[in-house]
Amino acid sequence: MRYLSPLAVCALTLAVAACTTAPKQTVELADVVGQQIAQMQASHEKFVRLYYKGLRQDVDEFMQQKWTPQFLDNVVSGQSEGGKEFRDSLDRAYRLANVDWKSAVKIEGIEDPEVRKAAEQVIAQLAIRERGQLGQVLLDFATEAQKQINQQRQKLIQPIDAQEAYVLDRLREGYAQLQAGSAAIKGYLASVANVAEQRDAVLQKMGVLEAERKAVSTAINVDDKAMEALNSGKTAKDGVESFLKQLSTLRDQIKQ
Amino acid sequence: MAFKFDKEATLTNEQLAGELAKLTPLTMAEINDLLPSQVDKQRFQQLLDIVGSSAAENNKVAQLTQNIGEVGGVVVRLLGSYLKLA
Repeated sequence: MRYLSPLAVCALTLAVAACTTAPKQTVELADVVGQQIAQMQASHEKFVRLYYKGLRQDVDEFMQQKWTPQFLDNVVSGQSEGGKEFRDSLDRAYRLANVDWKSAVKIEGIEDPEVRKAAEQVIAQLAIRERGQLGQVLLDFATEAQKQINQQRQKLIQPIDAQEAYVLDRLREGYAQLQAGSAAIKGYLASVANVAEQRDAVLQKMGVLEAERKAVSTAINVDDKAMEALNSGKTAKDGVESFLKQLSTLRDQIKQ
Repeated sequence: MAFKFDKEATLTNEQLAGELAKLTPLTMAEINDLLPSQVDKQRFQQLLDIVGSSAAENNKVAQLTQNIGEVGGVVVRLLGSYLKLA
C-alpha cells in the first residue's frame, strides 16, 4: 500500500486545485487595467498642473498690468511716508545733480592758478557726487519697489503652489491605492490561473502515465500467462504450442 | 538711504481688493468636493493582506501540483515494481 501515499497526495492536490479556476486572459485584462490606471493618473496630474499654471499666469498678468503700475503710482505720488521720503530725496538729488557748480561758485576771482585748479577739481567732484547721489536714490527706489513687487507676487503664488502640491499628493495617494488594489487582484488572478495551468498539466501527464501503467501491467500479465502456458503442457511440444497460442492472444491484448 | 514702501503696497492691495479676491485658488471645501473621498486605510490594507495571502496560498498549491506532476513518473515506476513483485 506504500504507493498509494503519493497518489493520495496527488489526488488531494488536484482536488484543491480544481476548486479555483480563471482564464489566463483575466491576468492580461488586469495588466491592461493597471496600465490604464497609470495613464489616467498621468493625464489627471497633467490637467491639475495646467489648471494651476493658468492661475499663476493670471497672477503674473495681474501683477504686471494692474498691481505694479498702481503701486508705483502710489509711491511716486508720495501719498504715504515711504513715497514722501522718496520724492523728497529724488527732488533734492535731481536739483543738486543739475546745478551748474562752476557758475554757482565764483572762482573767477582766484588769481593763484594752483588754487584755482584745486577749486575746479573740487567743483567737478561735487558735480559727480551729486549726480551719483541721484543715481543712488533711483537705485534704492528700484530695490525697494522690486522687493515689494516680489513679496506681493509671492503672497499670491504661494497658496496656488501649496494647493497644487496638496491636490497632486491626494491624487497620487488615491492612484497608489488603486494601483495597489489592482496589483493585488492581478496577483490573485495570476495565482488562480497558475493553479489551473499546473492542474491541467498534471492531469494531462497523469493520463499518459495511466497508459504507461496499463502497458506495464499487461506486460507483466503476458509474462505470467506465457510462463504458465509453457509449464502446463504434458510434453515439450504441447507446452511450446500452448505458449505460442497464449503469446498470440496476449500480443493482441497489448496492441489494444 | 533705504526706502520702505510697505504702506504703499498695503494701499495698493486695498485699492485692488476686488481683483485680488478673484486670483485666490479654490477653497478647501471646493477641493475636497472635487477630490475622491479617501478610503479607510486600515480596511484597505486588511483587504490587500487577505487577497495577497490567498494568492500566496494558490501559488503554493500550484507549486505542489507542479512538483507532483514532475514526480508522477516515479510513482508509476514504483507502481510497476510493486505489481511485478506481487
